[in-house]
Amino acid sequence: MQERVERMVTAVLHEIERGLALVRVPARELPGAQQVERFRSSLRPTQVVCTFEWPIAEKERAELGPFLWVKMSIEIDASGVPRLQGVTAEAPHASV
Amino acid sequence: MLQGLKAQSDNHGFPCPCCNFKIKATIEQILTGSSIFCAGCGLQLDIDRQGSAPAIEALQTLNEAVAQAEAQVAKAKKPGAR
Amino acid sequence: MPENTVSHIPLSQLVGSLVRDIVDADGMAAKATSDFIQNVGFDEKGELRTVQFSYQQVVPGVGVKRYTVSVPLLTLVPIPILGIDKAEISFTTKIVEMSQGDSQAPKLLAKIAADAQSNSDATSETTNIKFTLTMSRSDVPAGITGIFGLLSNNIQVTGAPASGQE
Ligand SMILES: [Zn+2]
Repeated sequence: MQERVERMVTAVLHEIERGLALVRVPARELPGAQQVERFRSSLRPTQVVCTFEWPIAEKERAELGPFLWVKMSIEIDASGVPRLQGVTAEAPHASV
Repeated sequence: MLQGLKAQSDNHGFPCPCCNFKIKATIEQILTGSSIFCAGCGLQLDIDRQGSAPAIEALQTLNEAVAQAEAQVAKAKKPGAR
Repeated sequence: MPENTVSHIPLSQLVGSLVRDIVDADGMAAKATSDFIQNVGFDEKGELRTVQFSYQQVVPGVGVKRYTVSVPLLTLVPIPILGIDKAEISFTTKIVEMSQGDSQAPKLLAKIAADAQSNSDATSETTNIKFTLTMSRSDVPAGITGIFGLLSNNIQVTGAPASGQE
């Protein structure tokens, strides 16, 4: 199961990277674009937090409950590349 | 959720030619041509209306646009309005 | 109800288009600031509009002298510096497909979901993911710094020769 969660985490991280790369292509042209650009701030994505429930396999449910609560914390550096800061997994309905 | 589509409004004024204190005039003062005073040294400044005519005209246009926008905002804020 | 496959898009496109919308909105705000500066501050020839004030000052040994100070109109009115300081986008997507290729990073197809909790039918490939994306800005736009420099360099004091002494 851990391997499958890791695969999802990697996939999400790469989708975010690909998504941010789409934004870096030249912005939609506004009239007087050059002049306007000078008044535009350096607004950029800085952080992403993703949370999802991960269903637990039938045979482990008695012990761990129905799902894991996975949380990914991602910082986005100035060049727009997401860096995974941490992943936590919690079983909120675990019997222990 | 956008946190603060920011409009700074405290960025105007010019330095007093005598004491360098920041003088702020209101749009009304300029449009009515009343004298303005430096809060630092009390210097009295009189608007040269003739020399400033194009600027005053532009300010008048701005003032009307602001008044219109404020009226629209007030209308939109009325109970029952969306 | 059959799944509407048209609404499934790569997760990257979803993230990208949401961020792009915010960036575009910020661009429109910047345009409003730019238009204000252009329309109020400058005339048709692109020259700074100025307001002239006259004042009197005592000059030791000379007496009272009359001066004129010319200041850019833009120093007299608050410039609306519009822009987005911070934005937070929250959305939940349902992952409907994960590509099974050999690649290191499988691709995800997603669609917008109501919220993260309604995930009872989830399998490991169709989970709901809740995203909270924060955007912030880190500096003052170059145009703003430039305009304030231009304004302060264009405050001019001249002695008025004709009506000089009293
Ligand atoms: Zn003064």
